Amino acid sequence: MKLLLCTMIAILLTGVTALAQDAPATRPTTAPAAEATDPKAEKLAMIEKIQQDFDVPAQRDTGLESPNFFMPQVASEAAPATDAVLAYINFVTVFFTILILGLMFFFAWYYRSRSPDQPDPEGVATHSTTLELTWTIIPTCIVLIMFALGFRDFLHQAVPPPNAMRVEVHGRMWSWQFTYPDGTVTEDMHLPVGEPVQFILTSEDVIHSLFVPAFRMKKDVVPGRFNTIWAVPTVEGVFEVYCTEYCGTGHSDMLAKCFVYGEGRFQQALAWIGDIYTDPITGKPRSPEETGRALWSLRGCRGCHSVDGSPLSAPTWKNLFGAQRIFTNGSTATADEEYLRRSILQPHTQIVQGYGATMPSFAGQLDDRDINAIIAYIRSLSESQGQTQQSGLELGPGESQSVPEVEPRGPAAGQNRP
Amino acid sequence: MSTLNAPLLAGIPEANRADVHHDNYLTHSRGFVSWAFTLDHKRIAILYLVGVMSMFAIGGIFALLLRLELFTPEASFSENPALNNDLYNQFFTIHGAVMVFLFIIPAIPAIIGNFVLPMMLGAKDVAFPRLNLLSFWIWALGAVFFSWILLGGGITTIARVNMEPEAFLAWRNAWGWLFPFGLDTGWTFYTPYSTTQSTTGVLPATMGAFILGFSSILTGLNFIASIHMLRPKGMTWFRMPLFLWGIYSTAIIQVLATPVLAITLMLLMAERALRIGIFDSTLGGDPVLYQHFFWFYSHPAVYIMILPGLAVVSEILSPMCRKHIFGYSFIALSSIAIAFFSFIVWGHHMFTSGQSPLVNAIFSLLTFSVSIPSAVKVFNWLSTMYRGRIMLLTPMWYVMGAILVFTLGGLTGLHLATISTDIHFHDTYFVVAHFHYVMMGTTLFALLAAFYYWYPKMWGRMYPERWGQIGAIVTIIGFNVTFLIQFVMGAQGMPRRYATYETQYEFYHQVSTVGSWILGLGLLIALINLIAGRKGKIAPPNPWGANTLEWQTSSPPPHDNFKITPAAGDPYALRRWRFVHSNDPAVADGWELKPEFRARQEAAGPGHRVEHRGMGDHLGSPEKTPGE
Repeated sequence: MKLLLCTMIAILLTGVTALAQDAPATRPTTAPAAEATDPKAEKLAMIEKIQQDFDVPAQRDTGLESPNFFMPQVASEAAPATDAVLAYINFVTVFFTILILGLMFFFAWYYRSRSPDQPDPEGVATHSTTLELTWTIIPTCIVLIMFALGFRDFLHQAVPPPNAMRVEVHGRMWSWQFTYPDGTVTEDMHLPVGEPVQFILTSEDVIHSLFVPAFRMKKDVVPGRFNTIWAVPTVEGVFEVYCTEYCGTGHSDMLAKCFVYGEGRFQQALAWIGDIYTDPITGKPRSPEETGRALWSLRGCRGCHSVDGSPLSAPTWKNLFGAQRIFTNGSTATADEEYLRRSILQPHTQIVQGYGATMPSFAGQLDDRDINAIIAYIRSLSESQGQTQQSGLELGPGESQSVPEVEPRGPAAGQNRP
Repeated sequence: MSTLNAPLLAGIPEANRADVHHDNYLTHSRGFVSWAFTLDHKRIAILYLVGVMSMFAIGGIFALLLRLELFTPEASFSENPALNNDLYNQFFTIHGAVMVFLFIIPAIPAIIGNFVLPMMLGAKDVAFPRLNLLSFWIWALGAVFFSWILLGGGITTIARVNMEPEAFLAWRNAWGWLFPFGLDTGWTFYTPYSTTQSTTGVLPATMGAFILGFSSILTGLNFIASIHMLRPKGMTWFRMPLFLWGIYSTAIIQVLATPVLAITLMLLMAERALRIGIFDSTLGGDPVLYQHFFWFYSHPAVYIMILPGLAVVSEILSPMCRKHIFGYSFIALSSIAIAFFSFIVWGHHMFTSGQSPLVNAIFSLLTFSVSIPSAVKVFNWLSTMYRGRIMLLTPMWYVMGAILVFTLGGLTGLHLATISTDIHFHDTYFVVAHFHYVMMGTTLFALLAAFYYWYPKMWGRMYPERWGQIGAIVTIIGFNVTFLIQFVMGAQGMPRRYATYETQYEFYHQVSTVGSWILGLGLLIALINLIAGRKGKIAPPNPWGANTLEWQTSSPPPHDNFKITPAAGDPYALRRWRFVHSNDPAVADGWELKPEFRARQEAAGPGHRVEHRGMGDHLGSPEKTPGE
């Protein structure tokens, strides 16, 4: 009993010490490079290119730097603090797990009924107010320390420093978009090492959640709200970015990478990655079609519009150009440059039958050059592009084409809607 | 009964010694109508048993399918990634919704509570038997809605796979109203996904959950009324069996919290069907408001799921350890404390949602308060085992399994109550493991413990002991193999509800999937064992030598439980009764009083019974309340 009491008091003291201490300093690591696992070859090539050109180490091995062996890489200022709190919680929980389960199995074995004739125990106490108070008050103190430790670090994470770089994060089904102070737009997170970054999060459709395990950072991305969170990356490398709030079919594909660059290489990398008119791998200028393809991926078009005819929640772009469109109000039009441009800027004016009015307007987000590039890309996906190009705005042979094979995913196709 | 056994039966009112095998509740009347429209609480419990466990089987099959899909990192249901992900999303939603709304919430209160509660009170039935029957049929109606979704989802998926996309679109436009396309919102129905994006059967599902809520409310009302009004002579509040304290606390939550769910689901349906802006930000609503409404019910609902499980553990532990329960009043009051705290901690589900830091801090602090009564319970259970005479039989194995998983689940709750660490663990597999430990593990093991413990009373037979224990051990091992490793996986960063994942998590997922097969095997053994037990040895009325009133009638009980209301004493005064779960055929159809009590009873003469009170024994007349 006394031993138990002493141990509990020791745990209390450990917690008080942990509370008094500041977060331990981070030690940057040089972990061995590991092979990226992204299935998309293009993405893989990109990551390799960034790693080579900007000297970013690939850090995929986990746990080496965390005091908790099962935690991922520590890569932000907040992470060691979180892990220190976790170490205290783990200490307490492992102690009590061993105590409770150890006693339970020991009692079950030691006090097991040895024969059917064994008499039932007599005269064993059935209550003890001292014991009850012991195991009420001591756990209360222990959890109060946990609360205080957790709240201290949370408060730190909730208040961004005024000099933080502000990065806008748009979540949408199912890709991320990061917008930097200079207007650069990227699909992945690119950050300078050692500088505070504040993320302003908003969603275009449903709730998502931005999670960077190596930063111990997570915040929901809620439509109609501007949530904010901040971090200071402390280690150069490539880290995972996940969406952790369920958001539909492509939830598990809503992934991104977080690249953390060393001293002075961040601006360079951002300028390079942000230039969508140049091919990042070869360094040659992109054709309008190639730019359009890059925008299709970057601006999230790929979440709803396939380019290989596979059915998603919006019409596929394959063989779209020049095809006859039938709208919900019964009218028809040919998918030409004018129609596509209007669909991008004012998507709700004409809704194709079988689909919902879910596409946001891209007015103000894409300039003419970008829109033309996207139209050029859509045109390149159509088998009859040459003929339609010649016929201009007139009704072309596309009229006779079959409607692309589609599968409804939009709400209008649902049977539950009025 | 032969006169030879008369001294043996001394503690039992003469009238309650019915010849059990000629008239009991199972054989009292025959035919479909006598079951479907029965007002007998025991038969209603059997109806629930069949219905709820069928739903458990469906939910379990979907769980096994989910784990199978996660065996490899890639899409494994279908080549088409969209189809694969949709199937996966529908499967985890159906698994969650069926398990939560149709299985865990009604499991212990509706099956075990209905069967045992009136008998523990020495009553002939619950306070409102007709309301009880209505509860069951409302539950069945709710189950119909979910079955409709399952059927519609199956048919629509077959159509989707086999038809050309264009033809499928036309088919859905024509028949979609009849065949809802499954359900893919997660059991939480989070907006705006459920109101604006999902094309699945959100309306039938929310309607089903709405209806099931009424079943829960009416059962809770019935139990509260029964406990207040039907307690027999001698049963003061602090002489109630601990199972009744747990059920009472649960019933309070059911009655107070479930209407909030009903209103929330109504608002959700209104928004989805009529585009009223409550939760949709494009219409001026706020999606986080839905989360607050939803968790204001669903966090207390977590305790609707677990409190009955803890109550079963508290109840079974004493007779299985052959010792009075330790710290009775603290266990009883901790149930009430958990019920109270359950209403003020819902905000910890939204630590990352963007609610203000102050609100987060308050909810974090309040959340820790739940851990204290939980700890009190566990330590009191351990003290009950201390210096006991522990019968390592099937119910006791499941009780130990429940304590094991409740300890692990409860302690990992500390990781999630601390805000800064919750930020990392939120919506990862750490949370999945945590709530499976506390909700599913504890409740399921307690339910199985209850099935075995009350099996003799329910069916009048003893189950096969050896295979019962094998099933229990395999189930406990399988459960821990499945879920223990998910804590590590979640800490590493694996998010929940991912159909495909990165290869670094493959090992953990494979261990977990193998564990799910062991768990399935264990449950299959338990199922076969419980069915085989129907042909087992004839059970004595009080095989465990327990002093709660349900054991003071024959096994199985007659239609109206007791001819004469038995007087209640200390429910854990086991010293009067001998443990007769043995192979001794002489005791198979009798109550067996301890020899010293038999002697004292004979000395006291007929018409008096030996009462047990606190730590000492005294003699009292059955008319006299033991407290006087």
